[in-house]
Amino acid sequence: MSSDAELLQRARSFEHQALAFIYDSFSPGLYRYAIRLLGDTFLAEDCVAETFKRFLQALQARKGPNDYLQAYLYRIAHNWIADHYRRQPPQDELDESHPARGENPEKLVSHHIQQEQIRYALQKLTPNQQQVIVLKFLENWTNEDIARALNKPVGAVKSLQHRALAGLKRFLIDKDLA
Amino acid sequence: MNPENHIDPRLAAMLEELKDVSPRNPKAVARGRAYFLAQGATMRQAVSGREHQRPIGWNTLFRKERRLMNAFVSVILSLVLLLGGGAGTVYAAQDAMPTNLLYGIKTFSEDVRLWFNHDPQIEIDMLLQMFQTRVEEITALTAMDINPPAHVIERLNLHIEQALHVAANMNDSAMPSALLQIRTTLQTQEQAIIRLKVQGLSGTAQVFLHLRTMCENHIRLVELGLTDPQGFRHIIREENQDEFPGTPGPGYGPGPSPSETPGNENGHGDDTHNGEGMGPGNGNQTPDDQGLGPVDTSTPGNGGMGPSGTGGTSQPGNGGMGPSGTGGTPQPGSGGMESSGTPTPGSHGSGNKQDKP
Repeated sequence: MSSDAELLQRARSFEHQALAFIYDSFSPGLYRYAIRLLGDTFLAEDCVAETFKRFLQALQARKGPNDYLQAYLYRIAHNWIADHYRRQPPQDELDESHPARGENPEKLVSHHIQQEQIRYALQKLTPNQQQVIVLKFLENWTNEDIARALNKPVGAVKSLQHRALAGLKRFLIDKDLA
Repeated sequence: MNPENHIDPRLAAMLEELKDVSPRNPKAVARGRAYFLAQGATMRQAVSGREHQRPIGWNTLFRKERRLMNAFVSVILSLVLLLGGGAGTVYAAQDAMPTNLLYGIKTFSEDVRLWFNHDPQIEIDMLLQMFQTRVEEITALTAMDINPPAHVIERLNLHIEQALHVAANMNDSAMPSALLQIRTTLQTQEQAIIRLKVQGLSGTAQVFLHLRTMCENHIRLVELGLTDPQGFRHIIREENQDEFPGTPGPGYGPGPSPSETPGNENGHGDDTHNGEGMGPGNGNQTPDDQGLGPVDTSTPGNGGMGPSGTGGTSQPGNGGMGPSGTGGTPQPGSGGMESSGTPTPGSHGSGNKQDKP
Protein backbone atom coordinates (compact mmCIF):
# COMPACT_ATOMS: atom_id res chain seq x y z
CA MET A 1 0.00 0.00 0.00
CA SER A 2 1.49 3.33 -0.95
CA SER A 3 1.02 6.74 0.63
CA ASP A 4 -1.64 7.80 3.09
CA ALA A 5 -3.18 9.99 0.41
CA GLU A 6 -3.76 7.06 -1.92
CA LEU A 7 -5.01 4.91 0.93
CA LEU A 8 -7.42 7.61 2.03
CA GLN A 9 -8.68 8.07 -1.50
CA ARG A 10 -9.61 4.40 -1.59
CA ALA A 11 -11.06 4.59 1.91
CA ARG A 12 -13.33 7.42 0.79
CA SER A 13 -14.95 4.90 -1.55
CA PHE A 14 -15.23 2.55 1.45
CA GLU A 15 -13.16 0.01 -0.42
CA HIS A 16 -13.09 -3.15 1.65
CA GLN A 17 -9.37 -3.87 1.27
CA ALA A 18 -8.34 -0.32 2.07
CA LEU A 19 -10.48 -0.25 5.20
CA ALA A 20 -9.16 -3.62 6.30
CA PHE A 21 -5.59 -2.41 5.78
CA ILE A 22 -6.25 0.71 7.83
CA TYR A 23 -7.75 -1.28 10.69
CA ASP A 24 -4.96 -3.84 10.70
CA SER A 25 -2.26 -1.15 10.55
CA PHE A 26 -3.49 1.28 13.15
CA SER A 27 -5.75 -0.53 15.60
CA PRO A 28 -2.90 -2.22 17.55
CA GLY A 29 -1.18 1.11 18.20
CA LEU A 30 -4.42 2.83 19.06
CA TYR A 31 -5.28 0.06 21.49
CA ARG A 32 -1.87 0.36 23.18
CA TYR A 33 -2.32 4.10 23.39
CA ALA A 34 -5.78 3.77 24.89
CA ILE A 35 -4.93 1.10 27.43
CA ARG A 36 -1.92 3.06 28.64
CA LEU A 37 -4.09 6.03 29.36
CA LEU A 38 -7.23 4.22 30.47
CA GLY A 39 -5.88 1.07 32.11
CA ASP A 40 -9.02 -0.87 31.21
CA THR A 41 -9.21 -3.35 28.33
CA PHE A 42 -12.93 -2.89 27.75
CA LEU A 43 -12.66 0.89 27.71
CA ALA A 44 -9.65 0.64 25.40
CA GLU A 45 -11.61 -1.55 22.98
CA ASP A 46 -14.51 0.93 23.13
CA CYS A 47 -12.07 3.73 22.36
CA VAL A 48 -10.66 1.92 19.33
CA ALA A 49 -14.12 1.03 18.02
CA GLU A 50 -15.37 4.59 18.46
CA THR A 51 -12.25 6.01 16.84
CA PHE A 52 -12.78 3.97 13.69
CA LYS A 53 -16.50 4.70 13.70
CA ARG A 54 -15.86 8.44 13.83
CA PHE A 55 -13.29 8.06 11.08
CA LEU A 56 -15.88 6.39 8.83
CA GLN A 57 -18.45 9.03 9.67
CA ALA A 58 -15.95 11.71 8.72
CA LEU A 59 -15.31 10.00 5.40
CA GLN A 60 -19.02 9.70 4.76
CA ALA A 61 -19.44 13.41 5.40
CA ARG A 62 -16.67 14.07 2.86
CA LYS A 63 -14.47 15.28 5.68
CA GLY A 64 -11.55 13.66 7.43
CA PRO A 65 -7.86 13.84 6.65
CA ASN A 66 -6.19 14.07 3.29
CA ASP A 67 -2.90 12.85 4.72
CA TYR A 68 -1.27 11.79 7.99
CA LEU A 69 -3.95 9.29 8.79
CA GLN A 70 -2.16 7.99 11.87
CA ALA A 71 -2.03 11.42 13.45
CA TYR A 72 -5.71 11.94 12.65
CA LEU A 73 -6.74 8.64 14.26
CA TYR A 74 -4.72 9.31 17.41
CA ARG A 75 -6.34 12.73 17.66
CA ILE A 76 -9.78 11.15 17.57
CA ALA A 77 -8.75 8.54 20.13
CA HIS A 78 -7.36 11.17 22.43
CA ASN A 79 -10.47 13.32 22.16
CA TRP A 80 -12.52 10.27 23.10
CA ILE A 81 -10.33 9.62 26.14
CA ALA A 82 -10.49 13.27 27.18
CA ASP A 83 -14.29 13.18 26.84
CA HIS A 84 -14.38 10.00 28.88
CA TYR A 85 -12.50 11.61 31.76
CA ARG A 86 -14.68 14.69 31.55
CA ARG A 87 -17.75 12.49 31.92
CA GLN A 88 -16.17 10.31 34.58
CA PRO A 89 -13.28 12.01 36.42
CA PRO A 90 -10.60 9.72 37.84
CA GLN A 91 -11.02 8.60 41.43
CA ASP A 92 -8.96 10.43 44.02
CA GLU A 93 -8.18 7.24 45.89
CA LEU A 94 -6.04 4.60 44.27
CA ASP A 95 -7.45 1.12 44.38
CA GLU A 96 -4.82 -1.16 45.88
CA SER A 97 -6.99 -4.24 46.26
CA HIS A 98 -6.38 -5.96 42.94
CA PRO A 99 -6.50 -9.72 42.89
CA ALA A 100 -3.16 -11.35 42.24
CA ARG A 101 -2.68 -13.80 39.39
CA GLY A 102 0.23 -15.88 38.29
CA GLU A 103 3.20 -17.14 40.21
CA ASN A 104 4.30 -13.93 41.83
CA PRO A 105 1.25 -12.13 43.12
CA GLU A 106 3.17 -9.59 45.16
CA LYS A 107 5.13 -8.44 42.15
CA LEU A 108 2.00 -8.32 40.03
CA VAL A 109 0.13 -6.23 42.55
CA SER A 110 3.09 -3.92 43.00
CA HIS A 111 3.42 -3.50 39.24
CA HIS A 112 -0.26 -2.82 38.86
CA ILE A 113 -0.29 -0.25 41.64
CA GLN A 114 2.65 1.55 40.13
CA GLN A 115 0.94 1.63 36.75
CA GLU A 116 -2.18 3.05 38.35
CA GLN A 117 -0.14 5.73 40.12
CA ILE A 118 1.50 6.83 36.88
CA ARG A 119 -1.83 6.81 35.10
CA TYR A 120 -3.32 8.81 37.92
CA ALA A 121 -0.49 11.34 37.62
CA LEU A 122 -0.96 11.49 33.84
CA GLN A 123 -4.62 12.26 34.33
CA LYS A 124 -3.67 15.29 36.36
CA LEU A 125 -2.06 16.75 33.24
CA THR A 126 -3.98 18.50 30.49
CA PRO A 127 -5.17 16.28 27.62
CA ASN A 128 -2.54 17.71 25.26
CA GLN A 129 0.23 17.18 27.81
CA GLN A 130 -0.89 13.58 28.33
CA GLN A 131 -0.85 12.99 24.60
CA VAL A 132 2.65 14.40 24.24
CA ILE A 133 4.03 12.22 27.04
CA VAL A 134 2.43 9.02 25.76
CA LEU A 135 3.28 9.57 22.12
CA LYS A 136 6.80 10.77 22.77
CA PHE A 137 8.02 8.51 25.55
CA LEU A 138 5.85 5.42 25.17
CA GLU A 139 5.15 5.34 21.42
CA ASN A 140 8.47 6.99 20.45
CA TRP A 141 6.94 9.47 18.02
CA THR A 142 8.94 12.45 16.74
CA ASN A 143 7.96 15.99 17.66
CA GLU A 144 6.85 16.57 14.06
CA ASP A 145 4.45 13.62 14.14
CA ILE A 146 3.10 14.68 17.50
CA ALA A 147 2.60 18.19 16.16
CA ARG A 148 0.47 16.74 13.36
CA ALA A 149 -1.57 14.65 15.77
CA LEU A 150 -2.20 17.67 18.00
CA ASN A 151 -2.63 20.06 15.12
CA LYS A 152 -0.10 22.38 16.73
CA PRO A 153 3.32 23.75 15.77
CA VAL A 154 6.41 21.83 16.84
CA GLY A 155 7.38 24.63 19.23
CA ALA A 156 4.10 24.22 21.07
CA VAL A 157 4.73 20.50 21.37
CA LYS A 158 8.12 21.14 22.97
CA SER A 159 6.53 23.54 25.40
CA LEU A 160 3.80 21.04 26.26
CA GLN A 161 6.43 18.35 26.80
CA HIS A 162 8.42 20.54 29.15
CA ARG A 163 5.41 21.42 31.26
CA ALA A 164 4.13 17.84 31.24
CA LEU A 165 7.43 16.43 32.47
CA ALA A 166 7.60 19.07 35.19
CA GLY A 167 4.06 18.16 36.25
CA LEU A 168 4.79 14.44 36.32
CA LYS A 169 7.94 14.98 38.33
CA ARG A 170 5.97 17.01 40.81
CA PHE A 171 3.23 14.39 41.14
CA LEU A 172 5.40 11.29 41.13
CA ILE A 173 8.81 12.16 42.51
CA ASP A 174 8.73 15.36 44.50
CA LYS A 175 5.58 14.14 46.28
CA ASP A 176 7.40 11.03 47.45
CA LEU A 177 10.35 13.06 48.66
CA ALA A 178 8.17 15.49 50.56
CA MET B 1 20.40 11.85 23.95
CA ASN B 2 18.75 14.73 22.20
CA PRO B 3 18.31 17.54 24.78
CA GLU B 4 14.70 17.83 23.68
CA ASN B 5 14.15 14.30 24.88
CA HIS B 6 15.83 14.79 28.21
CA ILE B 7 13.82 13.26 30.99
CA ASP B 8 14.57 12.58 34.62
CA PRO B 9 15.81 8.96 34.76
CA ARG B 10 13.49 8.20 37.68
CA LEU B 11 10.57 9.49 35.65
CA ALA B 12 11.73 7.54 32.62
CA ALA B 13 11.86 4.36 34.71
CA MET B 14 8.33 4.99 35.94
CA LEU B 15 7.00 5.57 32.45
CA GLU B 16 8.61 2.30 31.41
CA GLU B 17 6.05 0.62 33.67
CA LEU B 18 3.31 1.75 31.30
CA LYS B 19 5.04 0.26 28.28
CA ASP B 20 4.11 -3.18 29.52
CA VAL B 21 0.71 -3.75 27.90
CA SER B 22 -1.08 -7.08 28.17
CA PRO B 23 -1.84 -8.67 24.77
CA ARG B 24 -5.08 -7.71 23.13
CA ASN B 25 -7.85 -10.31 23.13
CA PRO B 26 -7.89 -11.83 19.60
CA LYS B 27 -11.67 -12.25 19.75
CA ALA B 28 -12.09 -8.58 20.55
CA VAL B 29 -9.79 -7.73 17.64
CA ALA B 30 -11.77 -9.90 15.24
CA ARG B 31 -15.06 -8.51 16.51
CA GLY B 32 -13.88 -4.91 16.25
CA ARG B 33 -12.47 -5.48 12.78
CA ALA B 34 -15.64 -7.17 11.55
CA TYR B 35 -17.80 -4.39 12.99
CA PHE B 36 -15.67 -1.71 11.37
CA LEU B 37 -15.73 -3.42 7.98
CA ALA B 38 -19.48 -3.97 8.23
CA GLN B 39 -19.97 -0.28 8.94
CA GLY B 40 -17.80 0.52 5.95
CA ALA B 41 -19.79 -1.84 3.75
CA THR B 42 -23.05 -0.24 4.86
CA MET B 43 -21.70 3.20 4.03
CA ARG B 44 -20.36 1.94 0.70
CA GLN B 45 -23.94 1.13 -0.34
CA ALA B 46 -24.98 4.69 0.35
CA VAL B 47 -22.16 6.31 -1.56
CA SER B 48 -23.16 7.51 -5.00
CA GLY B 49 -19.68 7.65 -6.42
CA ARG B 50 -16.24 9.03 -5.88
CA GLU B 51 -16.05 12.73 -5.43
CA HIS B 52 -14.19 13.41 -8.63
CA GLN B 53 -16.82 11.42 -10.55
CA ARG B 54 -19.70 13.55 -9.32
CA PRO B 55 -20.56 16.82 -11.01
CA ILE B 56 -20.10 19.07 -8.01
CA GLY B 57 -18.69 22.53 -7.74
CA TRP B 58 -17.90 25.11 -10.37
CA ASN B 59 -16.35 24.39 -13.70
CA THR B 60 -15.27 26.49 -16.61
CA LEU B 61 -17.52 24.96 -19.23
CA PHE B 62 -20.91 25.06 -17.59
CA ARG B 63 -20.13 27.43 -14.73
CA LYS B 64 -22.08 25.57 -12.10
CA GLU B 65 -23.41 22.19 -11.20
CA ARG B 66 -27.03 22.75 -12.07
CA ARG B 67 -26.23 23.53 -15.68
CA LEU B 68 -23.91 20.59 -15.83
CA MET B 69 -26.68 18.37 -14.57
CA ASN B 70 -29.04 19.82 -17.14
CA ALA B 71 -26.53 19.07 -19.86
CA PHE B 72 -26.03 15.59 -18.49
CA VAL B 73 -29.73 14.86 -18.43
CA SER B 74 -30.07 16.24 -21.96
CA VAL B 75 -27.36 13.95 -23.23
CA ILE B 76 -28.93 10.95 -21.52
CA LEU B 77 -32.35 11.79 -22.92
CA SER B 78 -30.91 12.21 -26.39
CA LEU B 79 -29.18 8.87 -26.18
CA VAL B 80 -32.35 7.24 -24.94
CA LEU B 81 -34.30 8.73 -27.81
CA LEU B 82 -31.65 7.69 -30.29
CA LEU B 83 -31.10 4.21 -29.03
CA GLY B 84 -34.69 3.75 -27.92
CA GLY B 85 -36.12 0.34 -27.17
CA GLY B 86 -34.36 -1.99 -24.80
CA ALA B 87 -31.91 0.15 -22.92
CA GLY B 88 -34.43 2.93 -22.48
CA THR B 89 -37.07 0.56 -21.28
CA VAL B 90 -34.74 -1.00 -18.75
CA TYR B 91 -33.69 2.43 -17.56
CA ALA B 92 -37.29 3.56 -17.28
CA ALA B 93 -38.23 0.39 -15.47
CA GLN B 94 -35.91 1.07 -12.55
CA ASP B 95 -38.55 3.12 -10.76
CA ALA B 96 -41.40 0.79 -11.64
CA MET B 97 -43.68 -0.40 -8.86
CA PRO B 98 -44.93 -3.99 -8.57
CA THR B 99 -48.27 -2.91 -10.01
CA ASN B 100 -46.55 -1.49 -13.07
CA LEU B 101 -46.09 -3.40 -16.32
CA LEU B 102 -42.39 -2.56 -16.36
CA TYR B 103 -41.81 -4.17 -12.98
CA GLY B 104 -40.87 -7.49 -14.56
CA ILE B 105 -38.14 -5.77 -16.54
CA LYS B 106 -36.87 -4.14 -13.39
CA THR B 107 -36.54 -7.43 -11.52
CA PHE B 108 -35.11 -9.10 -14.59
CA SER B 109 -32.41 -6.42 -14.89
CA GLU B 110 -31.60 -6.94 -11.19
CA ASP B 111 -31.22 -10.65 -11.78
CA VAL B 112 -28.97 -10.06 -14.77
CA ARG B 113 -26.71 -7.73 -12.80
CA LEU B 114 -26.51 -10.30 -10.03
CA TRP B 115 -25.80 -13.06 -12.50
CA PHE B 116 -22.82 -11.28 -14.02
CA ASN B 117 -21.24 -10.57 -10.67
CA HIS B 118 -18.77 -13.04 -9.21
CA ASP B 119 -17.49 -11.18 -6.15
CA PRO B 120 -19.27 -12.50 -3.03
CA GLN B 121 -18.96 -9.20 -1.19
CA ILE B 122 -20.45 -7.23 -4.07
CA GLU B 123 -23.12 -9.88 -4.44
CA ILE B 124 -24.13 -9.37 -0.81
CA ASP B 125 -24.13 -5.60 -1.34
CA MET B 126 -26.43 -6.01 -4.33
CA LEU B 127 -28.76 -8.45 -2.60
CA LEU B 128 -29.10 -6.18 0.43
CA GLN B 129 -29.75 -3.24 -1.86
CA MET B 130 -32.49 -5.24 -3.60
CA PHE B 131 -33.89 -6.21 -0.21
CA GLN B 132 -34.12 -2.55 0.73
CA THR B 133 -35.75 -1.77 -2.61
CA ARG B 134 -38.41 -4.44 -1.98
CA VAL B 135 -39.17 -3.00 1.46
CA GLU B 136 -39.48 0.46 -0.08
CA GLU B 137 -41.86 -0.90 -2.71
CA ILE B 138 -44.00 -2.61 -0.08
CA THR B 139 -43.99 0.57 1.96
CA ALA B 140 -45.07 2.64 -1.02
CA LEU B 141 -47.85 0.21 -1.90
CA THR B 142 -49.20 0.07 1.62
CA ALA B 143 -49.17 3.84 1.76
CA MET B 144 -51.54 3.72 -1.21
CA ASP B 145 -53.70 1.11 0.58
CA ILE B 146 -52.66 -1.55 -1.89
CA ASN B 147 -51.82 -4.99 -0.56
CA PRO B 148 -48.31 -5.93 -1.74
CA PRO B 149 -48.36 -8.85 -4.18
CA ALA B 150 -47.15 -12.15 -2.78
CA HIS B 151 -44.36 -12.41 -5.32
CA VAL B 152 -42.78 -9.20 -4.02
CA ILE B 153 -42.70 -10.54 -0.47
CA GLU B 154 -41.34 -13.86 -1.72
CA ARG B 155 -38.65 -12.06 -3.65
CA LEU B 156 -37.74 -9.97 -0.62
CA ASN B 157 -37.37 -13.14 1.40
CA LEU B 158 -35.30 -14.72 -1.35
CA HIS B 159 -32.86 -11.78 -1.44
CA ILE B 160 -32.00 -12.14 2.21
CA GLU B 161 -31.78 -15.91 2.00
CA GLN B 162 -29.43 -15.65 -0.93
CA ALA B 163 -27.30 -13.13 0.97
CA LEU B 164 -27.10 -15.56 3.91
CA HIS B 165 -26.20 -18.35 1.54
CA VAL B 166 -23.38 -16.30 0.00
CA ALA B 167 -22.14 -15.39 3.48
CA ALA B 168 -22.20 -19.05 4.51
CA ASN B 169 -19.93 -19.87 1.60
CA MET B 170 -17.36 -17.25 2.64
CA ASN B 171 -14.31 -18.19 4.65
CA ASP B 172 -14.12 -17.69 8.40
CA SER B 173 -12.39 -14.34 8.19
CA ALA B 174 -14.82 -12.77 5.71
CA MET B 175 -18.06 -14.24 7.00
CA PRO B 176 -18.46 -12.23 10.25
CA SER B 177 -18.15 -8.96 8.36
CA ALA B 178 -20.77 -10.05 5.83
CA LEU B 179 -23.10 -11.27 8.58
CA LEU B 180 -22.81 -8.01 10.47
CA GLN B 181 -23.63 -6.16 7.28
CA ILE B 182 -26.72 -8.35 6.78
CA ARG B 183 -27.75 -7.89 10.39
CA THR B 184 -27.41 -4.12 10.15
CA THR B 185 -29.62 -4.05 7.06
CA LEU B 186 -32.20 -6.34 8.65
CA GLN B 187 -32.31 -4.28 11.83
CA THR B 188 -32.62 -1.04 9.87
CA GLN B 189 -35.45 -2.39 7.75
CA GLU B 190 -37.17 -3.90 10.76
CA GLN B 191 -37.11 -0.52 12.45
CA ALA B 192 -38.53 1.06 9.31
CA ILE B 193 -41.34 -1.51 9.31
CA ILE B 194 -42.04 -0.87 12.99
CA ARG B 195 -42.20 2.87 12.37
CA LEU B 196 -44.66 2.35 9.54
CA LYS B 197 -46.84 0.26 11.76
CA VAL B 198 -46.76 2.96 14.39
CA GLN B 199 -47.90 5.43 11.80
CA GLY B 200 -51.00 3.27 11.44
CA LEU B 201 -51.20 2.46 7.77
CA SER B 202 -54.35 0.49 7.24
CA GLY B 203 -55.04 -2.98 5.91
CA THR B 204 -51.52 -4.29 6.05
CA ALA B 205 -51.11 -5.59 9.58
CA GLN B 206 -50.65 -9.12 8.32
CA VAL B 207 -47.93 -8.07 5.89
CA PHE B 208 -46.06 -6.11 8.53
CA LEU B 209 -46.28 -8.97 10.97
CA HIS B 210 -44.91 -11.31 8.35
CA LEU B 211 -42.05 -8.97 7.47
CA ARG B 212 -41.12 -8.36 11.09
CA THR B 213 -41.14 -12.07 11.86
CA MET B 214 -39.03 -12.72 8.80
CA CYS B 215 -36.52 -10.05 9.81
CA GLU B 216 -36.36 -11.34 13.39
CA ASN B 217 -35.86 -14.94 12.26
CA HIS B 218 -33.07 -13.96 9.95
CA ILE B 219 -31.43 -11.78 12.59
CA ARG B 220 -31.44 -14.79 14.93
CA LEU B 221 -29.83 -16.85 12.20
CA VAL B 222 -27.17 -14.19 11.69
CA GLU B 223 -26.51 -14.11 15.44
CA LEU B 224 -25.98 -17.84 15.32
CA GLY B 225 -23.55 -17.38 12.44
CA LEU B 226 -21.54 -14.90 14.49
CA THR B 227 -21.23 -17.26 17.43
CA ASP B 228 -21.25 -20.65 15.71
CA PRO B 229 -20.18 -20.38 12.05
CA GLN B 230 -20.25 -24.12 11.45
CA GLY B 231 -23.73 -24.52 12.88
CA PHE B 232 -24.88 -21.60 10.75
CA ARG B 233 -23.42 -23.14 7.61
CA HIS B 234 -25.08 -26.44 8.42
CA ILE B 235 -28.48 -24.80 8.82
CA ILE B 236 -28.12 -22.80 5.62
CA ARG B 237 -27.16 -25.92 3.69
CA GLU B 238 -30.11 -27.83 5.09
CA GLU B 239 -32.50 -25.00 4.28
CA ASN B 240 -31.15 -24.89 0.78
CA GLN B 241 -31.75 -28.57 0.37
CA ASP B 242 -35.32 -28.15 1.55
CA GLU B 243 -36.09 -25.12 -0.57
CA PHE B 244 -34.23 -25.75 -3.77
CA PRO B 245 -34.91 -29.29 -4.88
CA GLY B 246 -33.74 -30.88 -8.02
CA THR B 247 -30.08 -30.02 -8.03
CA PRO B 248 -27.41 -32.64 -7.68
CA GLY B 249 -26.37 -34.00 -4.38
CA PRO B 250 -24.78 -37.06 -2.89
CA GLY B 251 -26.60 -40.32 -3.33
CA TYR B 252 -27.91 -42.05 -0.28
CA GLY B 253 -31.03 -43.85 0.85
CA PRO B 254 -32.46 -47.27 1.00
CA GLY B 255 -31.97 -49.55 -1.87
CA PRO B 256 -35.01 -51.33 -3.18
CA SER B 257 -35.58 -54.98 -3.56
CA PRO B 258 -36.72 -56.48 -6.81
CA SER B 259 -40.31 -56.17 -8.01
CA GLU B 260 -41.24 -53.66 -5.42
CA THR B 261 -43.53 -50.71 -5.58
CA PRO B 262 -41.89 -47.50 -4.54
CA GLY B 263 -42.15 -46.06 -1.09
CA ASN B 264 -43.36 -42.81 0.32
CA GLU B 265 -42.48 -39.32 -0.72
CA ASN B 266 -39.69 -38.99 1.76
CA GLY B 267 -37.59 -41.30 -0.19
CA HIS B 268 -37.91 -44.22 2.18
CA GLY B 269 -39.71 -47.09 0.63
CA ASP B 270 -42.15 -49.06 2.70
CA ASP B 271 -40.82 -52.24 1.34
CA THR B 272 -39.13 -54.25 3.96
CA HIS B 273 -36.95 -55.81 1.34
CA ASN B 274 -35.25 -52.57 0.70
CA GLY B 275 -31.84 -52.20 2.19
CA GLU B 276 -31.52 -49.21 4.46
CA GLY B 277 -28.76 -46.78 3.82
CA MET B 278 -26.38 -46.32 1.02
CA GLY B 279 -26.51 -49.53 -0.89
CA PRO B 280 -27.81 -49.87 -4.38
CA GLY B 281 -31.12 -51.54 -4.91
CA ASN B 282 -31.96 -54.36 -7.20
CA GLY B 283 -33.93 -54.06 -10.34
CA ASN B 284 -37.60 -54.59 -11.12
CA GLN B 285 -38.93 -51.69 -9.15
CA THR B 286 -41.01 -48.72 -10.04
CA PRO B 287 -40.69 -45.39 -8.29
CA ASP B 288 -43.72 -43.29 -7.64
CA ASP B 289 -44.21 -39.84 -9.02
CA GLN B 290 -42.22 -38.32 -6.20
CA GLY B 291 -39.29 -40.23 -7.44
CA LEU B 292 -39.16 -42.34 -4.36
CA GLY B 293 -39.52 -45.86 -5.37
CA PRO B 294 -37.48 -48.14 -7.46
CA VAL B 295 -38.39 -50.08 -10.55
CA ASP B 296 -36.60 -52.76 -12.31
CA THR B 297 -35.42 -50.55 -15.11
CA SER B 298 -33.50 -48.47 -12.62
CA THR B 299 -33.75 -44.95 -13.87
CA PRO B 300 -33.12 -42.37 -11.22
CA GLY B 301 -35.23 -39.26 -11.34
CA ASN B 302 -34.34 -35.65 -10.93
CA GLY B 303 -33.11 -35.11 -7.48
CA GLY B 304 -33.15 -38.81 -6.86
CA MET B 305 -31.27 -39.75 -3.77
CA GLY B 306 -30.91 -43.45 -4.01
CA PRO B 307 -28.91 -45.69 -6.17
CA SER B 308 -30.46 -47.44 -9.04
CA GLY B 309 -31.01 -51.11 -9.20
CA THR B 310 -28.68 -53.52 -10.73
CA GLY B 311 -29.27 -54.79 -14.16
CA GLY B 312 -31.71 -52.11 -15.16
CA THR B 313 -31.43 -49.09 -17.37
CA SER B 314 -30.34 -46.53 -14.88
CA GLN B 315 -30.86 -42.88 -15.67
CA PRO B 316 -29.52 -40.14 -13.51
CA GLY B 317 -31.97 -37.33 -13.10
CA ASN B 318 -31.51 -33.62 -13.07
CA GLY B 319 -30.00 -32.98 -9.73
CA GLY B 320 -30.23 -36.64 -8.94
CA MET B 321 -28.64 -37.50 -5.67
CA GLY B 322 -27.95 -41.10 -6.22
CA PRO B 323 -25.68 -42.98 -8.49
CA SER B 324 -27.08 -44.83 -11.38
CA GLY B 325 -27.45 -48.54 -11.33
CA THR B 326 -24.92 -50.90 -12.65
CA GLY B 327 -25.26 -51.85 -16.19
CA GLY B 328 -27.83 -49.19 -16.92
CA THR B 329 -27.91 -46.39 -19.40
CA PRO B 330 -28.08 -43.07 -17.59
CA GLN B 331 -30.97 -40.85 -18.54
CA PRO B 332 -32.20 -37.75 -16.85
CA GLY B 333 -35.30 -37.80 -14.74
CA SER B 334 -36.68 -35.37 -12.26
CA GLY B 335 -37.44 -35.33 -8.60
CA GLY B 336 -36.73 -38.91 -7.67
CA MET B 337 -35.38 -39.41 -4.20
CA GLU B 338 -34.46 -42.98 -4.73
CA SER B 339 -33.10 -44.08 -7.94
CA SER B 340 -33.44 -47.77 -8.04
CA GLY B 341 -35.74 -48.48 -10.86
CA THR B 342 -37.19 -46.02 -13.32
CA PRO B 343 -38.49 -43.08 -11.39
CA THR B 344 -40.87 -40.68 -12.94
CA PRO B 345 -40.41 -37.01 -12.35
CA GLY B 346 -41.06 -35.81 -8.86
CA SER B 347 -40.50 -32.71 -6.85
CA HIS B 348 -38.83 -33.65 -3.65
CA GLY B 349 -35.26 -34.22 -4.58
CA SER B 350 -32.72 -32.56 -2.42
CA GLY B 351 -30.22 -30.25 -3.92
CA ASN B 352 -28.17 -27.19 -3.38
CA LYS B 353 -29.61 -23.76 -3.51
CA GLN B 354 -28.94 -21.90 -6.68
CA ASP B 355 -26.87 -18.83 -6.06
CA LYS B 356 -27.88 -17.08 -9.18
CA PRO B 357 -31.33 -16.05 -10.03
